Amino acid sequence: MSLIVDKVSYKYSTGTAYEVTALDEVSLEIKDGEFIGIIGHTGSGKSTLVQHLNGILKATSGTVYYNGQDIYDKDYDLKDLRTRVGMVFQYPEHQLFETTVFEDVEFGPKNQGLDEKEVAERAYDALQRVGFPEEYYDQSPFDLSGGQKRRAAIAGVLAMKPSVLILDEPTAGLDPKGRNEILDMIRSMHEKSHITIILVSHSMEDVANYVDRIIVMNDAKVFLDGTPKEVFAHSKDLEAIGLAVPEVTYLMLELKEMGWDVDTTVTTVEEARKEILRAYEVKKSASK
Amino acid sequence: MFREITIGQYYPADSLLHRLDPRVKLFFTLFYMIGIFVADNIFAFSLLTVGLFSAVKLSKVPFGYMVKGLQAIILLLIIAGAFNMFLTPGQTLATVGPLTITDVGLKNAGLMTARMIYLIIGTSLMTLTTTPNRLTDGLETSLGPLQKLNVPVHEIALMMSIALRFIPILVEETDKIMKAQMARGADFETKGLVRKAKAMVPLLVPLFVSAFRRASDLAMAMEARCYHGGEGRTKMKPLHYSKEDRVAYLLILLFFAGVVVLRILF
Amino acid sequence: MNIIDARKLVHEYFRRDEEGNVEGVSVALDGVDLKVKAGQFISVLGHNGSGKSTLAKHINALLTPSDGTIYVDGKNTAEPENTYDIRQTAGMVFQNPDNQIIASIVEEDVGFGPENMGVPTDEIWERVENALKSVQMWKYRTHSPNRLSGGQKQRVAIAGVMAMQPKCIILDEPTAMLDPDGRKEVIRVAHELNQKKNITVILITHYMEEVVDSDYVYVMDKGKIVMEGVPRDIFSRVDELKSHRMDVPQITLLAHELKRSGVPVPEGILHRKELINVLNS
Repeated sequence: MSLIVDKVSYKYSTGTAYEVTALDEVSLEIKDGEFIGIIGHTGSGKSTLVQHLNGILKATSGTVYYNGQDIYDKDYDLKDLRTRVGMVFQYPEHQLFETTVFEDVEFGPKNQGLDEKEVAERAYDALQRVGFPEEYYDQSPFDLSGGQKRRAAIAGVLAMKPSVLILDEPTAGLDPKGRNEILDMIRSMHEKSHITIILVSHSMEDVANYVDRIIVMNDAKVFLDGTPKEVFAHSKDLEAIGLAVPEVTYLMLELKEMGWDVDTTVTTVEEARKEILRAYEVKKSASK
Repeated sequence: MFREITIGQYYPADSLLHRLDPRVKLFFTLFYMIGIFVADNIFAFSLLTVGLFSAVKLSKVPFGYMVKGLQAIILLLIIAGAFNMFLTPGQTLATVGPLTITDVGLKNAGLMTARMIYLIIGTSLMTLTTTPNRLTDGLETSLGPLQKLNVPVHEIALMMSIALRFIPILVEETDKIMKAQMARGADFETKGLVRKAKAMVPLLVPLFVSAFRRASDLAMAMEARCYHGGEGRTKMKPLHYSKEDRVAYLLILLFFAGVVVLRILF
Repeated sequence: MNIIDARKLVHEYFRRDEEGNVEGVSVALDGVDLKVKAGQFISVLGHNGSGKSTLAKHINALLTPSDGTIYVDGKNTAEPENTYDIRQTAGMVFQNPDNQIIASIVEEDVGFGPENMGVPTDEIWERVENALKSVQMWKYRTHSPNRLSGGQKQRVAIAGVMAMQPKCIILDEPTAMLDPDGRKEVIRVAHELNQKKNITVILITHYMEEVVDSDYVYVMDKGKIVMEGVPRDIFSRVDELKSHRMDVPQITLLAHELKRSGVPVPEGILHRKELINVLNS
């Protein structure tokens, strides 16, 4: 049970002066239940890559396998794939259209051809899972705050019960608190239901705290792929392509250079605090 | 999906055609269009072809880029051509199953297709070489006299130029919305008129909401930059005729006269 | 003299039901006092819905007070005859770069403001050139905005305001829709204009990292100014910031946590170097 991307290339405006290679022979495997962050610049190919996973874009060459099946096979049901690999795009405004939030969330399951009762149950369940306040179920989705719109949009995809959920820049435009709330919600969803989650983001600091695996995209290729610690160990390479590692990782690297005995693979404030504290105690007792 | 539309878009380059006064280009387009419908024989069309191709050459816009704009209407051309070819009465030239091709039909089909292609290349030549702002400036000045009849010429011109600026943005947005709804199982390829119309709702609602939001943002941004209608406005690029423009006017008139003469002679 | 002087500024708006009847009154600004000296770089922080964008629109006379007054360069925004003077004095850049660029060519867009002001043609060109050079976008002058990056579009928008030769620029969440590179570009340009051209800058944002180099910071919540001070002072009040739905930068937070754990670190650390120096001493 997994998603395999096999030597996928994607080009657009082919045959013109503007030809762009958005993906260049990318190969990847995404296993069930993983929590992945895909990071890269605007134009690095990260959004193009995830749009191949649910078959919305078709590779110029190479193929994508879902559970061992080639999704480009003639009789492969792409509509069915999209209910299994759910995708929430960057702006919730691009998908909200119904008169009430509840009806909007029902749109996906309705397209799956489920009966009315099942549709309503799915919508209710999805809204519960994203922590959407019940008193707003009958509100117009256009009157919601940024954070609530985002939740409604995520619920709209969750209601189809996908086993993979892709979120493209889920925190864009949110304030810090709203951003943390959404990321926390996504994490707890992953912990509870073990669905595969793929976060697409250009912010290292956001993602480092949450995911188990980071894929860095650059120039249409996979640049790095590993756990946050493995990836941030390449701070120099990341900087060379204009991506910053978290501030605390830089701090640890600089302290290490100055002779502090600290672990430089630290990525979060909490880890940094523990490391510095440990090293600080060692230093203090040594100077006594 | 929609990225490849070139109709109506400006192609930046430094050419004689780019430099010409927009009023000259409007004048050219008008006479050229009349010319296309005046011309009805091979000689007049040859002159049109020479005129068109020299203009394309002068514009420095790659010919391939221009032809891409035609792709969108190829189907339309084929259908219209076929109708003309098969359904026009006249002397039978050939029979294909139940259909007959007549001499008049063949001529009409050829003429119609040529006219459509020439029309599109000719008019897109104007938008390709003129920025929307210059184009609307040209329109505004040319239609200036209507101002006296209380026609809001400046407002119309500004609206046009803003519309042209937002076409690519809204086209891209449509693409994104379609993808977002397809990810929720929406099917934009359903058959049947009613179902098709229904399937468009999830696309059109977000698009309209966004367009209104953009319009209100834009209005506020324009106000913040002291916009208060056409009164008291100056122009960054006021229109002045240069020697090139006068020569161009003369050439266009000669060219048009040539087409008319060729039609009468043959 | 203060270039901006808001006194007990109140902004109320009516909530209406579907028939347009008034349901109630919402208060977006609730007695805001704000004084900005010419040449300062000040920041207004706040979460979404805290009232910070409403405040920005008052400084540009896009909104007028329900109560209280605001003077921009000595002119009361409530007087309709001052409107255009105020908009020339205090130019405004908005959040969405696409929705504020009017023209299809960069230079024509920058010329839009001066055209509206009735500036003579030759001078418009001069102003456009200076404005585009000041944001390092001169070489893109004949480009279409649609092919620029988000950060470049925002710089064009800033140039559009600069061409009106304002004394003050209000940036209303100019980076909210940009990627990290674009954000850095815009903030850098804002500081440059402040330092080189002596433009007063009012930066409205919810990104804490962006306000670190400001002269003075205001924090807004529920339509009120709830905190104010120099960045170091503001950032040393971590718990208070959190209670207003704000975050602090990683380094500041780390210093705060270390202090709690008994390491002698002062509050309000802003940069990595400072923390390293403190730890090494």
